[in-house]
Amino acid sequence: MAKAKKSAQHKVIKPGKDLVVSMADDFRKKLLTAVATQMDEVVVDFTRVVTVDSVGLGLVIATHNSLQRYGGKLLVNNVSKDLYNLFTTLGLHQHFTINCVDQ
Amino acid sequence: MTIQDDVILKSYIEESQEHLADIESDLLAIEEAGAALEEELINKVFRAAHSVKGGAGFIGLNTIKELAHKMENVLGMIRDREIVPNPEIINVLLLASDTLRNLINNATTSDESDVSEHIEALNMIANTQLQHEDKESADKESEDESMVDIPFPEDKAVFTICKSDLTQARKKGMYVYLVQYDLINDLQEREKILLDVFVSLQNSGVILDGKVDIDAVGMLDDDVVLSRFPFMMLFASILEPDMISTLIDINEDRIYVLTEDMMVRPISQLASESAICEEQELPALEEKSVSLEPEMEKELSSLFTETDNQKDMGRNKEQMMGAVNTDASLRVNVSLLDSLMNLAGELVLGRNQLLQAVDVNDLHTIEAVGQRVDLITSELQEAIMLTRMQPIGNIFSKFPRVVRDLAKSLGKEIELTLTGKDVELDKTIIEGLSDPLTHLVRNAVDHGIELPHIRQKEGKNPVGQVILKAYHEAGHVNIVIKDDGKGLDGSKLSKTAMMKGLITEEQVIRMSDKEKINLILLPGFSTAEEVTDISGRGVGMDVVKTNLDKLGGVLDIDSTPGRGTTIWIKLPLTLAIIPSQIISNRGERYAIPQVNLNELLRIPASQVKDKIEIVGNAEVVRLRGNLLPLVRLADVLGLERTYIDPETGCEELDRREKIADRRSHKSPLCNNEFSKDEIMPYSTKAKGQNDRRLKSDRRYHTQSAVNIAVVSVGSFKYGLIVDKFHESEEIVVKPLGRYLNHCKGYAGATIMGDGRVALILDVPSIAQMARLTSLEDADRAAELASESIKARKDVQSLLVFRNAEDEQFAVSLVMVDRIKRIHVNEIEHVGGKRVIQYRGGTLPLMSIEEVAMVKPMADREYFEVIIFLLGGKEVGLLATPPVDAIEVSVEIDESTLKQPGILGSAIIGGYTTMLVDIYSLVETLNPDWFIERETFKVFNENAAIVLLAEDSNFFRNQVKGFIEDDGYRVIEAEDGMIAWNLLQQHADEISLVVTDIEMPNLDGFGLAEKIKGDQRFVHLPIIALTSLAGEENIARGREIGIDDYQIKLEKEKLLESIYGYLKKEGS
Repeated sequence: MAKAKKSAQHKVIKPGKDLVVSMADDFRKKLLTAVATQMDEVVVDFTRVVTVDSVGLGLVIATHNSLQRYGGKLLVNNVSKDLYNLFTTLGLHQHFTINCVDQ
Repeated sequence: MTIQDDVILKSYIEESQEHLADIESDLLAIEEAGAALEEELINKVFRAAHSVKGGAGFIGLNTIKELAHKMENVLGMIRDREIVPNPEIINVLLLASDTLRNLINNATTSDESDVSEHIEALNMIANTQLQHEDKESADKESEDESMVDIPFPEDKAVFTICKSDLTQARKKGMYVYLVQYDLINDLQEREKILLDVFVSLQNSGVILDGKVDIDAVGMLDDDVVLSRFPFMMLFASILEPDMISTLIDINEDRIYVLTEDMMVRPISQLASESAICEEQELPALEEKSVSLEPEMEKELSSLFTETDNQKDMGRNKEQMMGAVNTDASLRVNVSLLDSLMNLAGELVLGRNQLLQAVDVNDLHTIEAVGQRVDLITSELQEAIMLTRMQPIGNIFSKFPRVVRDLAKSLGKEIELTLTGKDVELDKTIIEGLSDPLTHLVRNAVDHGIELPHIRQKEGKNPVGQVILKAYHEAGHVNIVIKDDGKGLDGSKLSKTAMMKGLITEEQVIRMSDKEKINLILLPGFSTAEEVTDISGRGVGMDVVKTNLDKLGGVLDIDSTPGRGTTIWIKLPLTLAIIPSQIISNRGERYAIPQVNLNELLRIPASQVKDKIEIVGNAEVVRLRGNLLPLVRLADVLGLERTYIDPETGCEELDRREKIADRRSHKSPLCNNEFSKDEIMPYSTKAKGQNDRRLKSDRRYHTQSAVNIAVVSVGSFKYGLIVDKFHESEEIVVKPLGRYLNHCKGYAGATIMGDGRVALILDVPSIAQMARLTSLEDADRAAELASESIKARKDVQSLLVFRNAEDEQFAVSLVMVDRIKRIHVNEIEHVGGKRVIQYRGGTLPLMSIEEVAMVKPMADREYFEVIIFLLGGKEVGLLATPPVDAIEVSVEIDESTLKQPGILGSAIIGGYTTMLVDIYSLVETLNPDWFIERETFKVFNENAAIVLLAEDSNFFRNQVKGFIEDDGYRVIEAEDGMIAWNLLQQHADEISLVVTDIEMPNLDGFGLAEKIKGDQRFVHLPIIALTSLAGEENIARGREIGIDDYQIKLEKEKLLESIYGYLKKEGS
C-alpha cells in the first residue's frame, strides 16, 4: 500500500515492499495525483521497497517523464544498495537523482 | 550463490576439471621454458583459467571466479611478457591451481572457503609489476582517457565510453556486446526477476554502459498499458559469441558484437561464420561430453539438494561427490557413439527378424539371423569396451608435478621420464591405479633417489632419474617404475622385518635376495628411518600390492643396492570380459583365463606311459625336455576321478592311482578277450608282451587320451589334468556370491551360452591347494643358485668328494681337468707308485692320506679319479663318492685343520670339509715337477713388489703365499680403497697389481679405473682374480684396462701371468 504525504514544495510517496505489477494501479494513482497538482518535486521513498519489476520501474520513469513536461523534478530516495546498483546500471541516474540508503 | 541448475553446475565442474587437468603440466613447462616460453603454451593456460572464471561467474561461484580471475591476471602478464615466469611465480600459480581444483571439486561449498592467501600472493605478483609499469606508462594512459562513440545499429542510441575501458576489457580476453533488451517482453512477460537478471549479468561480465529508452516508457497518464521498455547496454564478457545467448536469453538478432575494428555485427551472423571456421580448424571439438548413467546423475543432484541445509555433513558428502563426479561420466568420441547407435539399430533389426522367423518356425533364417546377432554383439561389445578405455596419460600427467614438488621439498634433483602415455586401459583400472602408482613414484623420489651430494660422492649424476613407462605386451599392459637411486638392501630389509617381528631368523636364512626385497610388501613394513609425510608411513607397499591385486595386477620388484630399483606392474586391459578356455570335469564346465593358460596338451593313450613319469610321489609330464608337475583338477576340487568308457561312452569311476597305471581286471575295459598277461600288473609282465596289444585296445582309442592344460603362475608352470577341452570363449566375469567366498580355487563365475553357470578357475590358488611347494623349493634353489652366480661374491666352485666315507674334502673345481670312474683292478702298482692306464699313457695316482693326516681311503670296488693338470703334467687323485660339483659361499678356517696338503676347512652342506691343497700334495710326492718353471728372481736381485688386493683373508694368504714362494715381495690390502692408498705410498716400488673383483669400499673395477686413470700408474699391469671368470666381467674389465684375468688358486697360471707381465716390464 503506497502512502502519499504532501508538504510545501514536494510530495513524498512511500511505496510498500513490492513495487510490482500487482501494485501498479494503486501506485500509479498516487503518482498521478502528485503530478496533477504540479508538484515541483516528487520524492519516491524506497525505504520499504525490496522488489521492483519492469512495470514498477516503468512507473518511476513515467513519473519522471510526466514531471519533465512542466519542469518538475523526481527524486528517488533511500534506495537499497542492490536496487541502486540496478538503477545506475540501467543508466537512470543520468535522468533523475537517486539516493542510496547509505548516502 | 545462485545455483540455478544442477545439470549446468555438473557440466561446468566436468569442463573445469578438464581445463585444470593439463594446467599443472603446462605450468611446469612454462617454468622450464622461462623467458623463452611459447606463446601457445601460455595461451592455453590462460584460456583454461579464463574459462573456469567465466563459468564460475555465470553460475555464481564467486570464490572460484575470484581466484581464477587473479590467476588469469598473472597469466595475462606472463603472456604479454610483462613478467618472466620464475619458479616462485609458478609455485604461486601451481598452489592456486590446486586450490582451484579443490574448490571446483566441492563447488557447492566453494564460497565458504578462504582463498585470501592465494589472492594476496597473486596480487603481490601483479602489483609489483604494475607499480613498475605505472611509472613507465603514465603518459600512455592519458592518451587512453579519450572517449569513443559506439553507435547502436538501427537505433539512435550512442554509447560513449572511455577508450581505456574498452582496451582493458579486450586485454582481459572479453568480447564486447551491444545488447537490446525489452524489459517488458524479455523479462516481465517471462516472469524473470529484474534484479536477478542483472546480478547474473554482472557476475559474468561488466556492463560498461546502459541506457533505458525513457521516451518509450511514456507518461503516467498514458492510458495504454506499458508494452515496451527498451534497454540498451554495452556488455563485456568472456563468454564467446556462441555462448552469450545462454546468458542473455533474448533473440540473437538483438545481440551484437563489437569487433576489433569497431564494427558492430549481430552474433547470429557471426556464429554461423565461426562455426565453419572452427569445424575446419578444430576437428577435436567434435568430442562432446556424454553423460552415461543418468541414474547416477539423479542421485547426485538429490545429494546436492540435501546438502544445502546440513553444512558439515554436507561438506563430507560433497567431497565424496566430487570424487564420484569424476567417475560418473566420461568423455567419448561422438563417432564412437554413432557406431554404438548403429550397432544398436542392427541389433533391433536382428531381433525383429528373429521374432518373425521363430513365429513361422523358419530354421534357416533363425540360423542366419543368429549368426548376424552374434556378429553384432561382438562388435557392440568391442565398441562399448572402447568407450571405457582411457589413456594412462591421465594418471601419468600428474607425476611431473608430484616429482617436482617432492624433489624440491627434499632438496633433490630429479628428472622424470614418461613414456607410453597413450597406452589405454579400462576406466576402472585407470582409476584404481592412480593411488598405487602415486605411492610408488613417491617412494622412488623419497626413498630411492639420494641427495645430490651423496650421488656425486658415489660417482653418479647428481640429477636422479625416475622413469615411468607403460607398454602393451601380450594382451597386458606393463608399467615400469624405475629409479637409479640407492636401491633396496635385502639384508637391511630382512633385519627390519625381523625386528618388527614380521618374520623369524630361520626364515631369513632360507630367503633369497629377491625374497628379502619382497619383504617390503609385508603389511606394516616401512624402512624409512624417519617417517616423512611424503611416504613411508608403514602402510605403503602392502596397500599398493593389495590395490593391484584387486585390479588383477601382478607386482614384481627388482633392485640392486647402489644402482636403483625397478618395479614392474602387469595389468589386464579390462576386468569385465576375459578370454578363457572352457574345460569340463565330471560334466561340469569350468573356465581357465587365457592369461594363465600357456598351451593345451593332449597325450594319446598309447603314449601316456612314456610321457607321464613319476618323480618321488608326484606325476610329471615331459614337455620339450622339461618336467612339468601335474595336478588333477578332480583331486583339487575334491571330485571323484572318472573316465569316459570309450566303448560305451559312459562315465566310469577311475580307480587308478597313477595315470600311467593300467586298469585292473575289475575295470569294465578289461574284458576276457585279452590274455591273462594283459591284465597282470605291469611290473610282473615280461618284456616284449606289449607287441601283442590289439588294435582294438582302449589305449588306441582317442577317448582315452589325457588332456592337460598347461597353466602358469608367474614363471611357474604346471599341468592341469581335465576330462575334456571345449571351445575358448570370451566370458563375462561375475563375482562369486558371498556364501561361496570361502571356496578356494575359484576366481569367479560366468554364465555360459546355454544359461548354465561355469566357475572360473583360480590357477594360482589351485597350485597352492595341490601343494606344489616342493617345486617352490626347487625354484628357490634355482633362484638361489642363479643369484649367487650373479652376485659372484666370494662364491667358490668346489668339487666335493670323500676319501674315507665319513670325511669330506673339496678342491677348487676350476683346477679339475676331468673325473674318471675306475675299477679297483685297473690300479697298477709299478715302480713303487700307483698308476692307471689313461688315454694311451700312464697316469700317476695319489691319495690324500699319503701327505695329510686323514683317515685312510675306504676299501671299495670302484673309485673316482679326479684328474688335475699341473705344470703341464696330469695327475689323478683317488676319491670316493659322493662326488659333487657345488657353488657355495663359504667361510674358510685356515688354522684348525691346516696341515701339509690341506689348505684349511669349511662347513659345506653340514659337513666339516677339508680343502685339499693339490699343489702341496704334488710337490710333496713329486718334488721335481715344478723346478723347470722360470721365476723372476733369475732376472732381478731385488725382488719385484706385487700389490695384492683381496678381501678374503683365506685367499689373500693363499695367493700371497705362492707369489712370495715364487720370489716376489707382496704388499697386501684388504680392499680396493686400501690398495689404492698403499699404491700411492709405494708409488715407485710396486711393479704389478693383482686384485680381486668383489671387494667392499672399492671393488676391483673401481681400483683398476683409478689406476688406469692416473698418469703415474697407467703403465702398471693389473691382473684380476676371480672365483669364476664370467665373460661379462672379463669384457668389462678389459674396457677399464685390466690386463689379465686369472682364477684364484690357479697358482701355475697366475704365476706365469705375473712372470710374463714383469718380464715385459723389465725389458
